[in-house]
Amino acid sequence: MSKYMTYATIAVCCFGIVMAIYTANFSRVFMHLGNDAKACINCHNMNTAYTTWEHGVHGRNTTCVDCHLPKDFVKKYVAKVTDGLHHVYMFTTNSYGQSIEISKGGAKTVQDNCIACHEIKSENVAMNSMFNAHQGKPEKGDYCWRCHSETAHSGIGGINMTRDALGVKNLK
Amino acid sequence: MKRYILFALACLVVAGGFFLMKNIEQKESERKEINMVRAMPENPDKVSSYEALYPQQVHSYVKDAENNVTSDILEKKPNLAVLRMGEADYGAWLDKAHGHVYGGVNMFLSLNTGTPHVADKFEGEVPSRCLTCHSGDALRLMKRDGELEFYSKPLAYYAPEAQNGIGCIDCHDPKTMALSMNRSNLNDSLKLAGRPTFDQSSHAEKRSLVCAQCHVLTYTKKIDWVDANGTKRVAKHITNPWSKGIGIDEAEAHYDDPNLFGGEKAVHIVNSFSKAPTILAEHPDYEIFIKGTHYKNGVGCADCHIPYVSEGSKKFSHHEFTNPLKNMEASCLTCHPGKKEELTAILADKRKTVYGLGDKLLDNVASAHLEAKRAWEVGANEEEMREPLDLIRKAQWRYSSVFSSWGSYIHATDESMRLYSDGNEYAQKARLMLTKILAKYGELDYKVPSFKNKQEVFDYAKPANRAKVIKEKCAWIEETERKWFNEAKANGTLDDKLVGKRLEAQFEEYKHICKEIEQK
Repeated sequence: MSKYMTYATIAVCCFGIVMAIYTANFSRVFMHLGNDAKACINCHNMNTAYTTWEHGVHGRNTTCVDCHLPKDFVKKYVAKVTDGLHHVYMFTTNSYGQSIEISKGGAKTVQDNCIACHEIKSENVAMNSMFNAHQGKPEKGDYCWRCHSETAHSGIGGINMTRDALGVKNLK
Repeated sequence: MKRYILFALACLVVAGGFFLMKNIEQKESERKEINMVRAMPENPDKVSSYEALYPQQVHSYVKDAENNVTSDILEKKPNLAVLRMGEADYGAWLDKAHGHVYGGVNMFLSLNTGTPHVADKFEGEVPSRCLTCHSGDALRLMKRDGELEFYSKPLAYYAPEAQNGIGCIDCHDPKTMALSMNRSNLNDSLKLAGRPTFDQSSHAEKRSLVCAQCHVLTYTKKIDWVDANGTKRVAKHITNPWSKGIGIDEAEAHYDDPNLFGGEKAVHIVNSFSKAPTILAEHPDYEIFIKGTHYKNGVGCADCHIPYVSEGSKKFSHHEFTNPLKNMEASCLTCHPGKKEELTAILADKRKTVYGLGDKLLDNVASAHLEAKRAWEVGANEEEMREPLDLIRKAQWRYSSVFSSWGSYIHATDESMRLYSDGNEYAQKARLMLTKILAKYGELDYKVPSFKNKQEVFDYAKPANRAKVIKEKCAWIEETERKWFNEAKANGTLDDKLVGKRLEAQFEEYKHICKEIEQK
């Protein structure tokens, strides 16, 4: 009897493996390991973020991961796993709501990446902070996009605000 | 017991995986549904078909029809008539173009297209290649008849179904509204210049390349081909002078290369005053723009000319294709916030500097032409005239390149100034040589005539058939062009609904052509 049990377990596992390969294939899972921005619109609730980014100035030579993931290799993949699992959970259970907000950790990553690219500019801002409108902001941990809200995603918040999502529909 | 637990665990994991797979399948079908293109315009060749789907874009496109005032450039710059004298029987003609909406009709109404009416003869008639950029019907007709067939027909053959201006399909895929490019000459020329083709280019680059379909230098390329019946045909195709690279100097090198033009340099107009073999630039906007600081920093044509604006909560691209300075908030200030006054002052300064240099160059080239005329009259020979005439050609090329590209002073300020300065250098050199030649033949103090208006230029030049050609054109507009326009309306190819009335109003607007002979 227990011998049959072993065979049954192996059969179930085999079925599981086949199913996993099938799912991995049609859900384009390996795309998520790279830097392609199109990986992010495998989930349709990112359409608005993608379209507004693509048509904005950062659509020229930055991709999603340039801003939203740490630059460090190990940290980047750790973030990919943790953020990814969070996204999978939220998307699978449909609990993301109409306006997706960035998490605290995500905000810190983006802020660091703003500074990483706009280094000279942000250094000036920090040094002159006592004289100008950015007073005290970097020390207090305020974020660039509190003022520059239209820079990356055109200041659009809701996920249904780009009606045609032309950038997405253009993809072949 | 252990095996039972293991089996139950495996079942549990696989069942979980199964539900996850089902969920992913469902999400995938949702994604496909959301991203599916639902609406296809009923008639993709007509702008009005897109109105229900993309109302803001279409309405802003129609706004372009308000840019409809004709101005005779020769009236403003009489010396330009000196430069262009000899382009045809009528001497010279230059109108300021209107918006894209009027592309088709204006081309037919302009004096430059003559009076085409023979539909079944190709040789010696105005070819259909004008339609490639002036009509929104060209792509449809090319697709219907085949590209080579299209280019082997006279203009009059297609005229009754090609009266629309530039429309949606010229730059967009009607299904998804993705940027698309279907004029084969651009891809061929990009390859020639060693650049990536349209499809290989990034989205940002495409936002300039769709404009580069037409806002570039072009000339006719004859192609011999054999049609399905085995008949030998000649197609007058369109091509760009980009074999040496993309730019004004590069294009000049292309036109100067005898290997490309059957053993001689290309000549567009033999000036009727100086006999200089000149080449003519028609709005090399892309060529000049890519040398400028905006392009080098990743800005495309559409960023300023089709800027994003908001109407309510909807953000859309404003398709008026006009001077971006009319709406600086949407164009300049998105990248240079809060600097309206500063920018306006900087631009006024740039305009003044570049235009000032241009006016000097224009006067110099015109004087050189007239001095050369005098030199021929007093007996100069071809040998001594060759070099000054060649310098005039170089100077005029630089002038017409920058001048005909209206926004060159901002598209690429440095490049415009460099070209004008180089042009001035060539023109001055030519004038120095001509002064020597004149002196050699005893003409020591020749003063070129100065012209107050274009009429004085024509009175001086006496082009062979100016009055006759204008009279014929005016009659032709009423007889033939009006007939074609009404035919296009009747056969349903004209986009009557949105701009039909405005297009018809152009027939009256263009009567200014006829004024010149009425005055006499």
